[in-house]
Amino acid sequence: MNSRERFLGMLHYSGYDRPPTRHYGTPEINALLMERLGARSHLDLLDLVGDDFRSVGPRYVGPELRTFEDGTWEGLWGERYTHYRFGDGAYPEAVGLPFADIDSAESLAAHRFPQADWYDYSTIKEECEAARDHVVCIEGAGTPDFINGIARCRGVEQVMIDLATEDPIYLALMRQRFEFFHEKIRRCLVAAEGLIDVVCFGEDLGNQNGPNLSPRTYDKLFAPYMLELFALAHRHGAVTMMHSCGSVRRFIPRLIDLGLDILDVVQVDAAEMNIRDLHREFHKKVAFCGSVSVQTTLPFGTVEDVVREVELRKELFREGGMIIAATHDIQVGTPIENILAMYAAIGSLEPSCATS
Amino acid sequence: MVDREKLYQAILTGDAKSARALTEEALKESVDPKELLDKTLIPAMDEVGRLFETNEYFVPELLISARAMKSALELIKPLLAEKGAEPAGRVAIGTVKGDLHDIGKNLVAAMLEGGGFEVVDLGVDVSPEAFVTAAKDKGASIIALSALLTTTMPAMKKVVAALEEAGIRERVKVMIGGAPITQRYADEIGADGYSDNASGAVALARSLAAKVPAAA
Repeated sequence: MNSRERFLGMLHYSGYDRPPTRHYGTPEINALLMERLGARSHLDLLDLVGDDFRSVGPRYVGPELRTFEDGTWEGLWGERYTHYRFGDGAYPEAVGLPFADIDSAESLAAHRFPQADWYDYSTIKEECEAARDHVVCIEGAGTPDFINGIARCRGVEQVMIDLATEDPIYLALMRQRFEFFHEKIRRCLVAAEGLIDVVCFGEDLGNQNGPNLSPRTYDKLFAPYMLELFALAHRHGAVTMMHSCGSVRRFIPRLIDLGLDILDVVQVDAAEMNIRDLHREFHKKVAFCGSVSVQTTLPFGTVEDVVREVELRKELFREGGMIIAATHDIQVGTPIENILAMYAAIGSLEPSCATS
Repeated sequence: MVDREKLYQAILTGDAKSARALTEEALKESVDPKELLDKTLIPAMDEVGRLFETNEYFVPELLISARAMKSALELIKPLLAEKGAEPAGRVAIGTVKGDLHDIGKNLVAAMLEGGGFEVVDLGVDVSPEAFVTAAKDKGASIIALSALLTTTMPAMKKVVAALEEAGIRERVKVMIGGAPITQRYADEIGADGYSDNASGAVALARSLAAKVPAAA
């Protein structure tokens, strides 16, 4: 069974040789894994851990995204990032928020927004063909990412207040993001001529204890856009997968109605996200990806704990419906043995790596 | 005479403009600021906390209510200070060293202020020494620590150790919270309390404030 066949077996509950998997790791963890496994490249690492997915995308040909003297760099929406170090790792953090002080439609209109034209789609089909044994996907957790994506340009707290007050600037920014991503995805799907398997989306709808926003707000402000984005993917024969951190159980029925096929990342330590309960309630209604905790089991558990967690998922989802993976990028400090144990228990780890 | 129910509702619905105007009106009518705070404003924020805990309110609603409360407090605080009224307690709050995530910390700070506490917000990426200084120089009797990342959780233990080293651990209570934090972790590092949400943090701070030695 190749990765694509395995994925389709998972999706249609028609059986598979092992559950599919997808690798999520921070750059630091990836570097440690590469060293440990003797991987020569990131792609090599994905092969060795048995990641069934391959991302493709258009080539960026838009205006130069500048790097500044202070080391900060520019994002697509005019925001700026810096690498913020914490112990042995680093995260890009937004430090320049272009929409933080915007309070009128006129000043927003003067801003430059990214365009689908900023990408060259001519190589997509070729990339898809090269990755045909795998699950070919486009986009990711930042699409459309109306909460975090706009927060990086306006501030997290401001975005939360925007949601409560339905601030016109925020609503205009949501529209801008939707139009940009919709057109970019459409062009990718057209160019790939049916060879894209999955369109990935993201929206962090939950926190550790519950939803970040009311289901009513979601329905009013987010759902219409997601309905169109999911429908776009389906029209071109792709399935939809959406990353969402936190406690999101209460959104799942609505997401299924809107056209979600796979919920990623299933943060099992968050409230109402117990994997057995999710299986009981949603099995064969939506597939899951993730669910091996980066908050508890992977960093703080033993190899036996990791194996037990993976075996539980294999048992619960023996007919399909689960892509076993970490619940987020695996963080620096996580024992490499635990990571390898996860992939070994899934059955995806290259056998020669098991004892390396 | 100002309609107290309207002021209560202004906080509850996050109407900052009305909350400020009604507070201003009440103070012009010589309503005792401490009484206004204790009988109207704090109960309104307590109700906001209850609605949050029962999932009728979410982070956006909590934030706009906190903003409305802040607009009222801006008028009341100077008057309370003039009268020498003591807050419910003094809390120094911050996201620990190495961690820049502040939404949870800000929510807790806002709810604590709304609960009648004086809050010294030390911001993000706060060193253990800065917490010690806040306890010594600002008179904070409660230190509230936040962390989002599993990789920055250990910094909480360093704060507890720094307080011990400075010889002030006995008179300062430490409360912790953040996505990966658990009661077990709080016990493990010797913190005095843990809350998994902003509203619960106010109740926790109230119980800790009651346990702070009188000399503090």
